[in-house]
Amino acid sequence: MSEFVFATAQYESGDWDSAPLVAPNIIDTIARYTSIDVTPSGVIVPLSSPALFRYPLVFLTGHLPVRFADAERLNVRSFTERGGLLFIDDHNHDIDGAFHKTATEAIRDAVGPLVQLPNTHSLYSAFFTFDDGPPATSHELNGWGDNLVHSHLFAVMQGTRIAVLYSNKDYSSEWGYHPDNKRFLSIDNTRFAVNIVVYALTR
Amino acid sequence: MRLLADRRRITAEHALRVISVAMLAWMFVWSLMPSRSRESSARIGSPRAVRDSLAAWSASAFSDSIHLDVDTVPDRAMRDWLVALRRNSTGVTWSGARLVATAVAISPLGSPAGGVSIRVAAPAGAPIAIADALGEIDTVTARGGGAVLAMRGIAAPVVALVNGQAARAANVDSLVSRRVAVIGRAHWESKFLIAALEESGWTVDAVLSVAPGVDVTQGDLALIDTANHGVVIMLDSSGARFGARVARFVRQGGGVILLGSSALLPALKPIAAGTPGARLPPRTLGFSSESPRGGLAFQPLASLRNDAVPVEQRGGRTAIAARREGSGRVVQVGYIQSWRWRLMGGENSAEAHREWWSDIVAGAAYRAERGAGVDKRVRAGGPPPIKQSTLPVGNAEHQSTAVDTALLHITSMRLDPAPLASLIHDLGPQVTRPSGGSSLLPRKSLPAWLLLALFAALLTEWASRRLRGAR
Amino acid sequence: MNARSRLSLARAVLAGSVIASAVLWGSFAALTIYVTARLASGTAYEPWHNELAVIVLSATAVTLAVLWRGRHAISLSRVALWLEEKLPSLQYALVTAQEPLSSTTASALESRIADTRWGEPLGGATVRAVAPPFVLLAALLSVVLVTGLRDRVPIGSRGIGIGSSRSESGTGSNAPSRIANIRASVLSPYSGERIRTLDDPSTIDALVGSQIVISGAGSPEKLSARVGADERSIVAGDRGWVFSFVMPARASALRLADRDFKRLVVLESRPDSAPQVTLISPARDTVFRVPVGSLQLSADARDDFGLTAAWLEYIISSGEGESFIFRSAVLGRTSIARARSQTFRAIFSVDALSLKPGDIVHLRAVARDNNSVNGPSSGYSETRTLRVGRRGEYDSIAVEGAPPPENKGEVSQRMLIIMTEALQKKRPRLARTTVVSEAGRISQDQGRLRRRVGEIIYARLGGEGSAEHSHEAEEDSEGGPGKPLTPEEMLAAAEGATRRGVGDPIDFHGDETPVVAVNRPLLEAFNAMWEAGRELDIGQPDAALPHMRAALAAIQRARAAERIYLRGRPPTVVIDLAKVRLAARVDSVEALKRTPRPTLPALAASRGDRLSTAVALLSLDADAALDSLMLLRMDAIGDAPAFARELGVAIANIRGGRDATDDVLRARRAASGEPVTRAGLPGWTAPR
Repeated sequence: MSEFVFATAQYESGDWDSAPLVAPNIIDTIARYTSIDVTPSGVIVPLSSPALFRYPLVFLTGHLPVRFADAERLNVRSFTERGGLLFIDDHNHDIDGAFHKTATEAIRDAVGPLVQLPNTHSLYSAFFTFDDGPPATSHELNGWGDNLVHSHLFAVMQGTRIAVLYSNKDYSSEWGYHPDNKRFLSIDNTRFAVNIVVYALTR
Repeated sequence: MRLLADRRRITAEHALRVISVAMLAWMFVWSLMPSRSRESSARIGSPRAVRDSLAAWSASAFSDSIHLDVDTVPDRAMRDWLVALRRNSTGVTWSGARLVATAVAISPLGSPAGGVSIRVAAPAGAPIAIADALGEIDTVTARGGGAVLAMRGIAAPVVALVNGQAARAANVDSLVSRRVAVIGRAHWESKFLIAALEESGWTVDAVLSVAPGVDVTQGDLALIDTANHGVVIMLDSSGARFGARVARFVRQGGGVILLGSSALLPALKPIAAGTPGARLPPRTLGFSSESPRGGLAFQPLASLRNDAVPVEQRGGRTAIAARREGSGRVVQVGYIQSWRWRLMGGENSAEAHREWWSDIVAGAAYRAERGAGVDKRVRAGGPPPIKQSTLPVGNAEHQSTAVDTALLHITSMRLDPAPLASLIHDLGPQVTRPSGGSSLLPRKSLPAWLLLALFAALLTEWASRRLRGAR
Repeated sequence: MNARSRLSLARAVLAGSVIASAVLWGSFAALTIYVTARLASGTAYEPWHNELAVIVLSATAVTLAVLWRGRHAISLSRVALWLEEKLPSLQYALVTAQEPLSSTTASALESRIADTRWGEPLGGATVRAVAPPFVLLAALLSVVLVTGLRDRVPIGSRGIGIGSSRSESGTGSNAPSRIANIRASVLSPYSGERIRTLDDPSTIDALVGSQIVISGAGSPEKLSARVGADERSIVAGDRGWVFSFVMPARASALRLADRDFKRLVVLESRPDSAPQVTLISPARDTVFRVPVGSLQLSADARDDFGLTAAWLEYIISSGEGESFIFRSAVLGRTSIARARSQTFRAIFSVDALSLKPGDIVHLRAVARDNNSVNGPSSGYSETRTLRVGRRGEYDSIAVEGAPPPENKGEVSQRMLIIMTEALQKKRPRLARTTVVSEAGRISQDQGRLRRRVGEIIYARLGGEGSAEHSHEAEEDSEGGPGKPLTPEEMLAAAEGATRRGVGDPIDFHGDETPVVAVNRPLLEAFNAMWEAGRELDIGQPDAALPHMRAALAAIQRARAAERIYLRGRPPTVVIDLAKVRLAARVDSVEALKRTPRPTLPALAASRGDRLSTAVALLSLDADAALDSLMLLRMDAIGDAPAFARELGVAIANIRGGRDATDDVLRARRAASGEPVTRAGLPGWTAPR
């Protein structure tokens, strides 16, 4: 049985399935760079389901407001307390958008307040080294969304461990392509995903 | 006629005087020359009765041999007293058909989180009540030679009461916990196993393989020996390059925990407890408190070696087994993906998973003893011991002294971990009660009766003399 | 009044003086012994009955001694002689008058006695007898009352406990402690509660942010107070000294010090809860087929101390793909005057919002409390999603399925079972042809239901058609019922429909793929229905019934099964791991170092140990032990409330001089957990 399954969170309030190609792309990247035992396809797991606890790393994205139902909030709280890592990406890339406002509020209520993650954090050297912090996305560089290049990610820390990783950088768009198209890129833009996975698997 | 009567009276007075002097002489000689034939025998149920008799025997030096027929083992002080009597030429024997063979032993759990394991030996079916300085802890019925109780926050000494027989012991071990090495691939099992150990207070060195030639490391595993590490955990076959070193470490006295395919590595196969079999699905869908690991898949350990001890079984198959390899220890775990228990097992599953792994590691870890004394645990990477500075600032010095005094008081209490064994050690094996022994009461009161008779004789003689007008 | 009567009166006065003097001297002796014993015992408390016996015996002895000394006051002749001695002018007339005399002599003596006043010697004697012990007793009592020695009343105890309610400690000065008797006034700023006054508290329980005033007698000089780590300044007040502070957010200790006297008070802070809000209407998510009309919204809010405002808010998301526009607004804002519960309503006009197909309205209720200290806290209801459907869309987010658009006439499996059971019951009375005919009708209904189940399965799997249709075509071509698909065959077909041909792609229940896990019960039902239909077709209702019941059971399992409502069907991309594994070059990876996780505080172990240490300390230094227990409780209030509760009971009993053994044992269980017991000695234990 494979150990690492890439899981995408399904939540009631929004378009949780807005980036369906991120999962296979990350799986492809993990396989390309590491010997981590990974399943060839991802799963979709409802945040309110006990199945959430089968996947200690869960990816959540969307454009629409994120309002956790009670069951989702309690599940997310337990999930992070027991050692799970929830990676949230704002598919709007809009710090003034509905996703950002509601997701940060929902995470604050469920787990705790987000704080800026320093760019020297071990996440940025968990596999590849990113000296400048989170890699910029083409959406940021092209001035879409909120027209900002976000220099930091945010996180809810539990001790020294990241329990919730939050990104405004729209990796959902950046990584949302078929992995076969990776051959057209001079530099693989999904390498940061390896760091996230290795961090989740080792910290 | 009257003269005849007076002469007889005078004769009787003389006789009484002689009798009195004779009795005095006899008592004097008796007190100086103890006879070999004198014996005291006591049927004694309560400790108080033994204590009272001991005091009487010691004060009067009446008996030359004592036989005790007891219902409960006299406590250590009384045994010492009896030994002292025996060393002063008093023969002491004992018998006790209803005495219970019981013993209590306390050892630290070995986990940095602390706690002790209390093992009580008792006859099968006997109720065991366990208490400490604060009060009752629990009761359990003995089976298979006794019972085991594990708990934190014990206030020594611990007393185990079996059928009225108390055994008393205190934890005197002081151990050094060494680092734990974890070797395997980077996956959820390694992550949550290391997390569980570190959260429990263990210091972990790790090598987690991420890609060929790329490892996530923590600490130093260049040298695996008993000076640095207490136990090595091999998660899978990715640690082949460490195999020979780990096997040597075990033969030096270290401990190893083998999971999954690591037991099949050529260097480790000779020391493994068994061979992991085919994967079996979880027995239950969820994780219940009754069967917390029932929700885990596992590889039953087959072909167990003769010296392997099944530690945990599931459905008649061995899930965990252990054996000794020279002076080292090998624990082989058949459970797969125990991290699922931590995440999916419910509210307290993280704590249960943590304690379970900590106990397994403690059961295998090499630890050097730090001599005997009051349990002042040295924790490697664990939480510091309670400091008196947590108490009110102004009273710190005073309270520290008080605590030391309290500890001194505790340790000075007479411990008696195996009363019956100690009784046999002190007084020899029990003997049947000697026949023909006279009852204790007349022998014990003989001097008083003699003295009474002496007074009566003298009084009679004096009265007779005064009544006939003589002085 | 004749001479004899006057003499009797004098005797009564003198005897009364003696008795009063005896009682006063006895009381003085008792109090002296008590005070001496208290001063001599220091912090060690002697059992009460020993001390009481000494005091009673001493007092009785002194009283009896004084009574014995004044025993002559009971005799008339001795009183007469005493008066003659004090009043020479009587010239033995009083003594002589006690003898039998002639009436002439008696009247002469009476007149002489009547001329003499006895008040002065009698009064003087009374004062001399009563005044000294009275003065001494009063002085000693004053000392006791002023120094507070009265609080040191020893009380017997057994087990774990002490004999004192004393809460301050320290020596080194003869002046009494100024922190022995303190008063705390608690004022919650927004809860509406009255000022609470606590006399001599060991724990102050108050809402976070409450204003707490501590006062005591004496001057504020050289007094110090710390709340947690913060030093508080103490000033002179009405009662003596006074200071105030705000209840911190977490349980803390208030430490008072007066020279060598120290005192600890636990500050147990109560947090204010956020309002609890429930959106009553709409009760569930909804899809508008046509965005017209209006919705009545209502919500209910509750708070522990009072609400100040409540409203409903919505966000409208318009757009699709990567382009979304959001609008938000607030409805029905209501001001609430500190009510603890409130129902509020609003009208949500769909018409006015110009909603378009695909728009989504996220609606929730919000309430705010009146926490003016560290708030206000806001509470939110669950969010309801109201969506405007697109024409011809398939979207399963409408979890409450609309009623079927047309009645396809399926009979439920339960009804089919009832019908078959009825047929089986009357089967002996029916002709075989009738049985076959009726069973055939039931079989047709069973077939319709089976096809419906098949559609559901294949709709979930995304297949356009179903295997049923092709299967039926096969049946038709072969002119009779064929063999039903096994679950594995059906799954193979299903997996083929989803192009998920790889084995074990997804981690799931018992290694099943979601396709299997979700559809297995329905597939079982499907096959059981098939078998049932076949039996019914040949007129064997009794043989059909087990299959029908199995189908019903499978449907029930499916109802209870975990559901995944796929919103759409994302493209399934399965990575060929063998092809891509380690295909990329990794040339920039540095040494990867992991940093250890911090050790979790071994709270259970350390609390158990601290409890044991503190209890062991009780017999040596009760005050220090109580302080330790109170600090332990303070630490535990936040994360171990059960332990804190049990320990609180134990502390109260110890302070009250009662036996606290059971409470301490309960507290230890709450701290260290239940002991793990196992009958039998293990074959493998930790190495020694």
